Amino acid sequence: MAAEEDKGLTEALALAEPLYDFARYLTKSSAEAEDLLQETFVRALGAYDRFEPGSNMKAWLFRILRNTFLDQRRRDKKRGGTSELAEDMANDDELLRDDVEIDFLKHVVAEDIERALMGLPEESRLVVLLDFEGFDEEEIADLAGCARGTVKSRLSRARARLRASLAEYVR
Amino acid sequence: MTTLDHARAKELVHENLRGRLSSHEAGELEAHLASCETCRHFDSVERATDDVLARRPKHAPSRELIAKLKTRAGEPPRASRRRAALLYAGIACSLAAAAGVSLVVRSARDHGDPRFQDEAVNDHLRILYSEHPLDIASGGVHQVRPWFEGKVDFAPMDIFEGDDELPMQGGAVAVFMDRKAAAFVYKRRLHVVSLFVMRKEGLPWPRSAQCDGCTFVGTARGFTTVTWSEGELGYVLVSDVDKNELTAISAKMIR
Ligand SMILES: [Zn+2]
Repeated sequence: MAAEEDKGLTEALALAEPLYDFARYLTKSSAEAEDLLQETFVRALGAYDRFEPGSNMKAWLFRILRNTFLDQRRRDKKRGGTSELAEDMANDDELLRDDVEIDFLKHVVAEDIERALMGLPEESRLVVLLDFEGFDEEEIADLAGCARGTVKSRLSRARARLRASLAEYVR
Repeated sequence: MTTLDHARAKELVHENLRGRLSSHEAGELEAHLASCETCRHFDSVERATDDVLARRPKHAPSRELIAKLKTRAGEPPRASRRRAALLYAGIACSLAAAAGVSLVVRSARDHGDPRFQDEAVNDHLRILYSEHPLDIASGGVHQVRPWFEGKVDFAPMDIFEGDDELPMQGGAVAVFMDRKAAAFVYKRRLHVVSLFVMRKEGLPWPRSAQCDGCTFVGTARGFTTVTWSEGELGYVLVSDVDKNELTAISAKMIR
């Protein structure tokens, strides 16, 4: 086996866990997340000769996963499957107040955190997770397919919504 | 007095948590937080939110999934197996070419039948990942070979009995495409090496491995295969050791 190919696979495998976790939160289903990860690997290895050595492998793989997800959903849509509606950017300025209470956050349990995350609109869930994975504004804009200037506000709103959902669970 | 306004300070709070501030910016932020209760609270909110995210259930890929990815068996459920196999074969070849690795294959067009390579790798994987991979543990070839009598419709003769570098682990009956094969399993350091022996008549045997003593060396999904034939029997050796090493191993086995 060629050493280069080996190296690509090794690097990709090292990222299998964050990729799968991301896929799982994106699709909300373990079966779909498995399919998504497998297709991501097939595409990534197929395109590995186009990966620029020294550039960000993680961002590259996350982008392939994201695009694969969108392609799969387009196909499902054609088959009459449903998809989430576009994010409702309703007036949630109230959430962005400065004096928000946070003590309760220490006591929320893992299941509630997952429920709150899954309850976020897809775009919000996406930016929250990508940011937490360590991607910067520019990378998130690229990965989430939105304008760079909107990342920051999307992110603060999404994180505020997450806190608000959690507050409801503990109430 | 600090040089940051609240809006800028809030931006820096988040970047600070991600470790993306220069020491100068970090110093400015620290000074602002020391004197601004509003931004200090904002910093606590951000930290508490990160703490929550860190405690979310992490979904780990199953071991089976990792194994599939590892072996490039990962194939999109809606794409054809053949397409995926060709894709992998294509990558292996183009990367080998790019790396200046000379291909051992005689004819550039003889990549073998992808189904054949695929099956060899699948059989090897069944041995790797099955709970009881071996039907008979090795007490040496003299114990393993007779065990196949009545289980396969040929006598696997002149099988390499193993040595210190490549001890035999045992044997199993495998199914190779439409027929039974005798599988002999060896260990090379931490790598498993499988030798499948079967009647070759009617199988899509690689052209360059048709004649006695000729070998075909291929790669499929990250594994190397060496294929040869002797009379009516065909031999396929599969492992994840590299091409040169597996070729050297096959040299011990070919009469
Ligand atoms: Zn301030």
